[in-house]
Amino acid sequence: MRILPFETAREFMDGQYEKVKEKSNEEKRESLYRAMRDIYDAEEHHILGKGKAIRYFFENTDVFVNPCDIFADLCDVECTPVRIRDDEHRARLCRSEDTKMLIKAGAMKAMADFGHTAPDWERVLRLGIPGIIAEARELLRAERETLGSTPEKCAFYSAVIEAYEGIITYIKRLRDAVSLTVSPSSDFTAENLSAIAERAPETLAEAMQLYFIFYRAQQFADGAVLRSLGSIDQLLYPFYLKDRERGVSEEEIRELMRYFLYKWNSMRTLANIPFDIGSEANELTYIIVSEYGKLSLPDPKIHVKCSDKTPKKLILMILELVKGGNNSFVFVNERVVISALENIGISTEDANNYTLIGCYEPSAVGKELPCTLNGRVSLPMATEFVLKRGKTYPDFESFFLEVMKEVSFFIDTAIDEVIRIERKYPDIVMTPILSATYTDAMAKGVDVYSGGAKYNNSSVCAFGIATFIDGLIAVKRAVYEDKLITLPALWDILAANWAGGEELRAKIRNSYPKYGSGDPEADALTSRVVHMLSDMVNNKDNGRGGVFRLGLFSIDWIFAFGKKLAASPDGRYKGEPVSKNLSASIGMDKRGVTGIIRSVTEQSHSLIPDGAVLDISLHPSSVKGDEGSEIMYGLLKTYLDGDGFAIQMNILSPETLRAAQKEPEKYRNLQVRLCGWNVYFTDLDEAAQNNLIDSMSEE
Amino acid sequence: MSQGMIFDVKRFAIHDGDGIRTTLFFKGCPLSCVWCHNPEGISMKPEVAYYRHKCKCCGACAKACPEGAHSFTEGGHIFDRDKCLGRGECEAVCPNSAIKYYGRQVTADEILPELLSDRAFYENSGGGVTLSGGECLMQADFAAEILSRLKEEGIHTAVDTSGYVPREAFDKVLPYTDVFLYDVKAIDPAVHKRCTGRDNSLILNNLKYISSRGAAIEIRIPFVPGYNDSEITAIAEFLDTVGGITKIKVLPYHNLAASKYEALGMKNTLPERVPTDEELKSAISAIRSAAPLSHLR
Repeated sequence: MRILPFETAREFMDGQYEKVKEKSNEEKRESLYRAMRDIYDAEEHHILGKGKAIRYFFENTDVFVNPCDIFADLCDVECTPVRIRDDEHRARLCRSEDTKMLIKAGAMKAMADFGHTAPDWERVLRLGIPGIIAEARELLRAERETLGSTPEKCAFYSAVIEAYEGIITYIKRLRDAVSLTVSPSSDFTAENLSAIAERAPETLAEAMQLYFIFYRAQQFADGAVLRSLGSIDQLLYPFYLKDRERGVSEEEIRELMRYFLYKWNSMRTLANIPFDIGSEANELTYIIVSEYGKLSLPDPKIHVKCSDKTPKKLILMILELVKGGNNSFVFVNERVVISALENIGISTEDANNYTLIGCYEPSAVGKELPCTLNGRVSLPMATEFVLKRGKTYPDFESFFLEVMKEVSFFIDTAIDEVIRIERKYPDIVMTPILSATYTDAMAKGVDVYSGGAKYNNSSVCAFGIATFIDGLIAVKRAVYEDKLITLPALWDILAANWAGGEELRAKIRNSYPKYGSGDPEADALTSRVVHMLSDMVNNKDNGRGGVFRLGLFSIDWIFAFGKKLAASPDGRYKGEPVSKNLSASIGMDKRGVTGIIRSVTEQSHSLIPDGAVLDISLHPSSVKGDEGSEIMYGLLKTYLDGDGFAIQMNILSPETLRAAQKEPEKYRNLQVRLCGWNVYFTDLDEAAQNNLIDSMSEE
Repeated sequence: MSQGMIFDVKRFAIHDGDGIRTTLFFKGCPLSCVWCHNPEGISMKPEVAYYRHKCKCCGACAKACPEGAHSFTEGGHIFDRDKCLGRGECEAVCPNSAIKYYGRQVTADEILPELLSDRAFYENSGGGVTLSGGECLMQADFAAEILSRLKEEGIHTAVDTSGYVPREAFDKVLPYTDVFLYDVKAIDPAVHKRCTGRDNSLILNNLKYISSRGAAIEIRIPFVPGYNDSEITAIAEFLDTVGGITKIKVLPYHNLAASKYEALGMKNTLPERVPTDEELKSAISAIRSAAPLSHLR
């Protein structure tokens, strides 16, 4: 393996994707777009127009070479066929009056999701680009010979051929550019490119090279960010074994892995790129984790699939990295993921071959188009809507049902809005590159965004669960049991942001049961709400052959939606963020980390196929040394045994974070796990920084 | 069924023995160590603590207190401890958590569910329940009842003790205690008296006694420069003669408890100086050379 040592190359890989941006030629961009648009418009079938536009893009966009990188994929992506999709999307956007009202009020949002899915990488790596072209040609030939063949299907296969031939052109143009470059690595790189232009990859390096080519192709030609890389330790393992057989040393494998991981990391400003490591670890799993740890990278994000088969040794190795400040890991519970997918009608066989999309959203690989980020609904706003009306209700049950009716209205509106836009997908989004990796789409000759996948799903996320539950219990106790205040008077106090109601607020915060504190009353109410939410979302028909999936994560919406929310009955002040993911309200996890884990695992997470995560923060002093690792393991194992969905950890002290606020330049490498991904702490805005510190300070 | 006076239950306690534990804090202690970081555990009686720095003078506590112990003047909030009957009505109404009520009379039946609720965590981390304080063996009958109930449930038990209790107290808990976390603060009786207000012969004799009864013992040495730093070698030499010791831990003194003294209206006896890393290291190596146990931290 004749390549530049990674340690030498490393610094020249930083920012390589941004540097390409600077070289983008604006004039050329416009003419490129006009040409692609003309090609697209000239075709009767959009899909074929798109396929041809993709081909044209790869034939004409500028390609670049970073002589220090051993994998090539740089091209000008400032103007891609994505723009066609965006224009078509914009032209068709037409929101309902209810949607407009709810968005304005900060109650919900609903949108198209072109991103959150994953190609079937196993097929890509097994067939290679030429293999997929051959398959599409064969299907096209067979379709043309069939009596009653449809032009639509033929157009689909032709589009696949056009797009994939475009990818071949892209590979060859990169190879030619690399061949003209003087670098110790250029022969190596050029050979890998030549190989994957001709056939399926055979070596680990070829497979890795194809990973980058294909990722870029689907992202910038199909137009989809946030596509996962799949279980890379499993997918690359056959190539690893073959390499070892033909005498490649472990150190050479490690060197390739360093390049591979670091290159994804250098791409990070473009998208949140996750991969996962399988619950059954192999030798490559350990190589990936150890190299990743040594590089100390914030990206790509790693989903750790956990099952009874996952070796404790691997978990302890990862916990050690988490302890050292590497927060890229989220632990996902395989058993729960599979039953959650089964609950939305995915077969056991398909569910078993799952991957994780975006933050922690599961999806059946090559079978499901999950669209994990369509609708988002602020639960606490439903309570506000009801209180605001100033009506009274005879008992808590009637009040509660009225609030849930409001939640149902938010969700139905979100679902309608998603369906409204998704119905237009055949005129907006065509993805020949992605679709060709789905066996069902190939068999049907239909794009996955037009219903080509086996499961064509959509999603709604409900968030702010702790703020919501604490607020409901506050009303139950203060209004109906202790009779301290009437509902209309409570709203007056909330509208005044607790002015004159400080004593009530203290009583609510100090004395009433809280979500996430192991309280049976709060846990039972949460369970009831989760079941009701599941009935409102899960398995609702989305009108394109699929169903909706319920999620309970919040990402960073807690800030924007919190700003629009008045003071809430749980004691929260106006404008403050609502609760995050499955976490308790800040300062209200009164029984500590074990209490929140117990409460959260009281809920049926198999009702949350779109995903949910618990964030826990531990002070570094509590997890020192080997004993500390056992303690983290004990927490993790109890969460998983209790059928919790996913969990992520921050091992940080609030003192460190405060110091980082004061002297950010000294803490540029400090990573934190926030909402669903890890970031450099100093890159966060002040509100997000303070929210994180507050969530840790109540220890 | 006996009753006990406790002041706290700490879940996810990780410094009170192995694994993830729940620690039950008993109220009342026979010693008065100058460095005590749980002064709320010294008195047997319930107490109201008032944290001035958190108070925003809203007046809620004054309305809640039937004895008029809380009052407000232009100078701010005045808490008259003499009027306080220690019932703690003021704690619940304080919006700023400026008032803490320490002390709760409970039965084993009442407290057991809370001690058992983290059972899964104990099992997954090799943890259990620790009785601490205060001095938990001052309420030995209550402690024994809780410990025996825990053992019936198969829970690992630890007793964190100063050792300053009658030998009979140990007899009561020995059958149900998996490990003792035993404080040794000084060997020289004069030093011990200066640090804790009491003589240490009872403590050292009890240690030898439980050792002779086959108890597993984790020794804890609070390390307080200016008070017992001269005692480290003597402690190590003494420990070398005691069987059954599984671990020796040196606990570096910290002065983070100052606000509690003020809040409780107690005289702050905390030493100002905390040990430096070098001092701590040399204390640990002194122990290590005199008492060659392998689990030193």
